[in-house]
Amino acid sequence: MTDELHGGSVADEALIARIVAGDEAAFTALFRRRQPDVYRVALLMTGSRATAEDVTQEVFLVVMREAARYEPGRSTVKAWLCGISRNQARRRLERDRRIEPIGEDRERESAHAVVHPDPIGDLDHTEQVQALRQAILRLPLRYRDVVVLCDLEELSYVDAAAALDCAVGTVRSRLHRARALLAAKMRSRRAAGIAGAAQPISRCLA
Amino acid sequence: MSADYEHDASYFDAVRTLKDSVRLAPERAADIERKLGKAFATHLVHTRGMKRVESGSWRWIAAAAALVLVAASVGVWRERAIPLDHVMDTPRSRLDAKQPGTSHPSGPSSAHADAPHTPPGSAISAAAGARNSDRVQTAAVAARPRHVPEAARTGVIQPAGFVAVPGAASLPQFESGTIVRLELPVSVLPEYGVDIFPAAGQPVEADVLVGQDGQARAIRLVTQSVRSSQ
Repeated sequence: MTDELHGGSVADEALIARIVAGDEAAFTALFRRRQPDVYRVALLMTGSRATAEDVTQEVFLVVMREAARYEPGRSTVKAWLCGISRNQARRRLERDRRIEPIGEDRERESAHAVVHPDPIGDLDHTEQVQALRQAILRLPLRYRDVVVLCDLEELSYVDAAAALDCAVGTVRSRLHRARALLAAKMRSRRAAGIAGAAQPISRCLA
Repeated sequence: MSADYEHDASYFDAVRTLKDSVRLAPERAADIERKLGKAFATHLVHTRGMKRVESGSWRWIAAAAALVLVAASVGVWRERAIPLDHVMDTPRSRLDAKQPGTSHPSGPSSAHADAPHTPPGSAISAAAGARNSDRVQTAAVAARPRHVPEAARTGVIQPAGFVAVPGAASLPQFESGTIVRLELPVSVLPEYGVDIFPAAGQPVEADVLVGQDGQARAIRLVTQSVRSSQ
């Protein structure tokens, strides 16, 4: 039965029902299956690994206590969990009132130390990913929510709206605006990268 | 990222890579899983215990209600038959017989000093209206057969007799006590179950019967010039 639970053949909704009935194995199976989603939302919302771990634990404590409150018709279990993770992350941000971007120091160092063979070319893919993560963390919270849930967690507009407790139209408009902001940040970063790459190598290494 | 970001393959490519790169370290995940496992076990014990309480709670409610009824009945019965009756029944003159050092104001209450000596054997022989009156004998009062005073039987309450304070019935059985004379502001008398007509503005003197536990059992007004509506 445990193999069945952890193998993925039991749907999330069925796991929730078993958790309500007091099945610890179902609770563990749900944690193992959905912990990556919950952690990812928490990390991309807060920028702090330590905070994201705390939030992940707190989310599943909420599940333990309030599994009976999950409404199958309202959203998927993944959307429900992502919504709880987003709420818990926001509470932590509100409490801490600071953002701790990941790898910001490393990024600053690499911008000066890396010498591109083709300085006019596009940014390295890894750098682009890092830049995207930084840009998401710099978005206002209401735009960060929708980018994390829709683009990164790939929730539908309906599920994202349920998780955020807002209208589908609100999700669409905020996502549109969030992507525009990200595009602007990435463009300016690329321009800065090209400008930096155009400097004499000796100055870059100074 | 191109201007038409919504169709920008590089953006979604970066998003996909970002998603795949964010992971909880396996040892941290295992640690959190362990903590959650313990929390779940505790949660189960708690919720199952609560369910047992809820399912049997109606029995506890019924038992508690029965106890309250029994206690109230005993309280009412004891209220009628408590040795306090003897105190209430005893004329003030007998209670006030032995009052060494007692000073009384002039006026009606000065009659106390002329009261006849309390006959021996009286359970209240040592009682007095003094502030530090002698203790009432215990065994005789407790063992005395229930005596319902004439006044109580006929429904006539002596104007200066002791009346039980509210809540006295729920107190432990009266075994011994002290009568303490106090000067009380009229505003506190309703708390003792005595209503004073609005015309009475001055403090009043009252004898308060205090039980062995320090709780007031009964009160009687001493100042005759004040009428009680009780």
